[in-house]
Amino acid sequence: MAGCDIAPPSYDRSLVVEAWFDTAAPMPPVRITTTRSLTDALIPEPAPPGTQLKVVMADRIITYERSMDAPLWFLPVDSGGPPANAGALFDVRVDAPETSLRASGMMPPKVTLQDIHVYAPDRPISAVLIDSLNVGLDSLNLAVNATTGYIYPVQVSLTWEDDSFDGWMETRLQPENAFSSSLIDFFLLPSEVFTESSARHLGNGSLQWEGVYAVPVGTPDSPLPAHSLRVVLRRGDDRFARFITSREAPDRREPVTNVNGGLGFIGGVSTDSIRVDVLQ
Amino acid sequence: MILEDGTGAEVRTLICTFFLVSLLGATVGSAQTIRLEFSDTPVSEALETYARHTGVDVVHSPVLVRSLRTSCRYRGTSKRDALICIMSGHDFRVEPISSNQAVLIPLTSTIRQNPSDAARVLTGFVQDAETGESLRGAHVILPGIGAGTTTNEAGFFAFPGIGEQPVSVAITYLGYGRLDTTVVSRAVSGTFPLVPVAFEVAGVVVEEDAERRADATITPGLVSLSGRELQQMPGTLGNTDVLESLKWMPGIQRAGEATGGLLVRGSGPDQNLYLIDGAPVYHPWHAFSLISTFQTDTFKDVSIYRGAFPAEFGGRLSSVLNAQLRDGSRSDASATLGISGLNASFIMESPLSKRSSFMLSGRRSYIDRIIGRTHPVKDDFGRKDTLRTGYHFYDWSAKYSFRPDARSSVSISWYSGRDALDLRLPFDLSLDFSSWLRPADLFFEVDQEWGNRILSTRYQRLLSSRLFLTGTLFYSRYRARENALIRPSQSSRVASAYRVDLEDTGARMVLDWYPSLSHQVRFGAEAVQHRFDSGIDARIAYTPTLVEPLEETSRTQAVEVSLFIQDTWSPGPAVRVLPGIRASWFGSGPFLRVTPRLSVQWAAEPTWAIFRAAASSHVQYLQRIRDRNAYLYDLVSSRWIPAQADAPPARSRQVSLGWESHGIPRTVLHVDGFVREGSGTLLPEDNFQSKNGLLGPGIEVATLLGQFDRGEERSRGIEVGTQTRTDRWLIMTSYTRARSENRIAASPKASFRPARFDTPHAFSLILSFRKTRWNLGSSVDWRSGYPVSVPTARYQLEDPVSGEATWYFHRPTINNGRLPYYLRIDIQGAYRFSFANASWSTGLSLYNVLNRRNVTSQSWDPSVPGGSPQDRLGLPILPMIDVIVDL
Repeated sequence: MAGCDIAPPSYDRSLVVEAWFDTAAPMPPVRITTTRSLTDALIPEPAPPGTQLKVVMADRIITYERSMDAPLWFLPVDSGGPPANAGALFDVRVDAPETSLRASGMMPPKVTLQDIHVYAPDRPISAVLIDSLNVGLDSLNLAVNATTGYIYPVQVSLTWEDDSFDGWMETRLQPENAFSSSLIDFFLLPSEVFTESSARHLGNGSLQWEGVYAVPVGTPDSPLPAHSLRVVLRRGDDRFARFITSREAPDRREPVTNVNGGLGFIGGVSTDSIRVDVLQ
Repeated sequence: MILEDGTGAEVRTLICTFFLVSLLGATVGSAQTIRLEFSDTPVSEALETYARHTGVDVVHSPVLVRSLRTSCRYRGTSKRDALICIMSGHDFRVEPISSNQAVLIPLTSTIRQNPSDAARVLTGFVQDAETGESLRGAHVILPGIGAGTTTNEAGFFAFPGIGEQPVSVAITYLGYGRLDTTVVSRAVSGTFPLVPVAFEVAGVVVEEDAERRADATITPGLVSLSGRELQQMPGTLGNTDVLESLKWMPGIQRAGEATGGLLVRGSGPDQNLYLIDGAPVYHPWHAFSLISTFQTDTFKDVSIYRGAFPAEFGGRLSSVLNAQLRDGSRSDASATLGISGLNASFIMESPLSKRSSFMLSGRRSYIDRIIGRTHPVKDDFGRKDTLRTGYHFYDWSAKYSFRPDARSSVSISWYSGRDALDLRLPFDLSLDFSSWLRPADLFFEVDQEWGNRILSTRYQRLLSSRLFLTGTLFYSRYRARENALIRPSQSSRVASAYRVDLEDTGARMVLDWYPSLSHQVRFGAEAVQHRFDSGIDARIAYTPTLVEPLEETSRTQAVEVSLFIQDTWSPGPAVRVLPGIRASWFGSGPFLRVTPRLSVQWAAEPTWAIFRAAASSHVQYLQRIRDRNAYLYDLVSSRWIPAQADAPPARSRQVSLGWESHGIPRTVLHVDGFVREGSGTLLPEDNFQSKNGLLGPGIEVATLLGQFDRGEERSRGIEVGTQTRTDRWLIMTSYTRARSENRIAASPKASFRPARFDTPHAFSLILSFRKTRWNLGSSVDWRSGYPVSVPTARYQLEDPVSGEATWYFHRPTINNGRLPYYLRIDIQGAYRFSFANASWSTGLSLYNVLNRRNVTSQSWDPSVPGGSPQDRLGLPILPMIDVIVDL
């Protein structure tokens, strides 16, 4: 009972590791940084001197060294050898002064994008663009700052091979000019994270997902601007899904880490990505 | 005085002496010189002499003092010392009644009963002399015997083992004149009418102690308020409200600034049981929890057990609010009309016959009647649309009371309340204020309604002079509906229909058995069938061809059966013990839980040293949780989830101690301490998960439970409260020093963290002044800010595909910081006058008169340098006007 309220939070210095091992791809560079205090400039801080990274992939030890040109990154020596295969077990250990952290996992099957269909309406539609849905009685904050505009909702379907993988899939449609409105975002589907078993089965050994993204235009007569679209398919395990789904709201939360003793994400994924040009 | 061997007797003697010195000093002392000299004089004779000299009437049992003699010599001006002199050497305690009256009560002897008197029982019903309403919790004492009790829900009391000789009975109840009478015959059960006394009548002692009724209670933490007391409490936003009034008590607070459920001793809002005439109310709030469904004027009595509660109650971990609707006057018809800034109300009551009466009340908000519910709009091209801004709530309460004979009564209580929101907003609303009333292709439309309905039928009968039956049949329903249609673009829309139904149908039978003067046994059984029914039918159309449906139904039911027994045992005049045990069985498991309770009251000194202690165990089979992902289907309310295999019942254990003092004239001081721990409560599995979609994973119980983990909680605290009541003033202070923490049980490494509403310090002050025509009041509410998870560091992550970098805050500890302290001062004033053969009262209240914008939440932006939060502010100063007419 004695004592006062909670003391002001103190700065917690932790290592942040980002290692995305991709099935059938060369060993990737690994990013290792350090948390910064709230008053520091928004510049990522490299891991402290003496930090060492050790990766064991399918019983093979891969040596990493800090990049001389980019101190945030650790690169595999001699390109890290052959790519990791599906089902390979890995173990990652980072030793730094006064701390060490660790993570392990298994490589998922390789995902292969089979088909892409893009459909856009002939004319744009009007839409309400709203900054916030934050409505609270306590604050009498009932006003919403809304504007109306015009968008092309572009519908995209992706098809990939069904590997009977009991894991998660992340799909993403990334137009070159990102567009966002709190309200419209609810009615677009530019990305999704779901279990592969819940995806639509086409019956020919393929799975399909459909999403929608928006391209804003100025007037109701504006044609659809030609633009570039990156399509990403990425599969991983439960920890991957947890990390991905929890990193979408940086103003409210930080991603759920799977790094024991640190922050970030160390995991095995399989990614297929392609950039397409969407014409008028 | 007689000194027995042993420390206990010495302590009692010291206490008795101190009591006489400290208490009677205020009430009995005067400047008149008193000369007394007795030598081996009978005490009865000495007391008569004392009464003649001092004017102080000492009520006592002639039988008990018949054999006592006193020798003393006194000369001085102190009446107290004179009485000490007379009673010196005799083991009696004195209970002051008023400035000119005191009662002698045997201190050390057990209640003496003649075996031949064992079969005789003094029984009675205490009623309001004007309305005939039964008075629950009236304090009935037999001064000559040293026995005391309180009336039950029917106003009934019983004293078994009273002999044939006439016996003095004193009955007190706050707001009523004291009744002193002598009962000669015990042949029939008598009725004891108490006459209401206006608080402001000078020179009339309504009752010396504002919470004297609680003196007769045993469980620490009990707050019992009559309807008259509730009406004296300040309201909020121009409304007097039962739950709003309770927040001024130590250990009780509201979760939000002006909204949110009650938090009792660090508990969650779903851990409180709300009862109206024995029927549970699951969502006792209107206007998004701005005001409660408990309308002050409709209740004759409200009790809330903070923390430990007797075995007769169960089903919740933290508190029980037991409210009784007014029976309706049996003498005169009356009606009261009122209008405040939020609603208009009425209450009427009348006798229907010599044996029956009714009360009917209603309340409705009227803002929709002023601004209108529908607004036809038209744009420059002649296109028409409708803007809808409908919101209202209403309550209906009714009670019919019937007394078929002197030994029984029947009552039927009914309550129905509902909120309805009908909103259609074209989103052009905020584009240009001058043209916001115009049709729009893009709109938000929501239709919500939620409400409670209860029906309670109660039959009470004095089966014999020792056995009193209370049987209750009840039905309670909570129903919520939400239909939403949102069309933010011409090609996308969401349409959803969500419903939540919870029904309780139950029966309860309680028997009060009075086997002897020192035992009052209450036992009974209760069976309730809970029905839960929820459903959603929603479709999100991203494009005309990409539609995501969600159609789910969740139905379940469970039977809960409980048995309990408790005994109010008085082993001596200063000690009362309330042991009890409750066994309950819950069908959807099934689960069988036994929860023992024990409360002890020790009136070491009846005025300034009443101690209470309790140890209790409680179980809760229903918990309320809310989906943490979806905007839709939880706007109306959260869901009650029954215990099941993967979510066993929550349990809590609590130990509490209390001290009550009436040592300062007209002031009651309470000091209570408690330690509480609980397990099985549901805590969010991911504390930072916030709503991020229109639809979440679904409404299935298992899906919702997947978002929660079983948690452990603990809290401890000290509560200090004072209440001073004079003819014109009511002053209440409350201070609570408490901590409330929890953690996920499945994570053994997890340390306890501050709970969401952990409030280390809370202080409140109420000042109320009444004069003939004026009623002025002010309230101060100060407390620590609620916990908040403050970031401690910042780091950057990079997307491996796009290379896009994003900054995040690191929050290693949940609730590691606090919002700024909360402070609010309200003032109220009312003026009463007569006009057109009616009594009028018009009032003005100012909410947050300092216009202090309290911080209700904080947020941080990790992409902005520095660590300063953005504050979300609470309500500014708000004026409210109300008018009340008594016809």
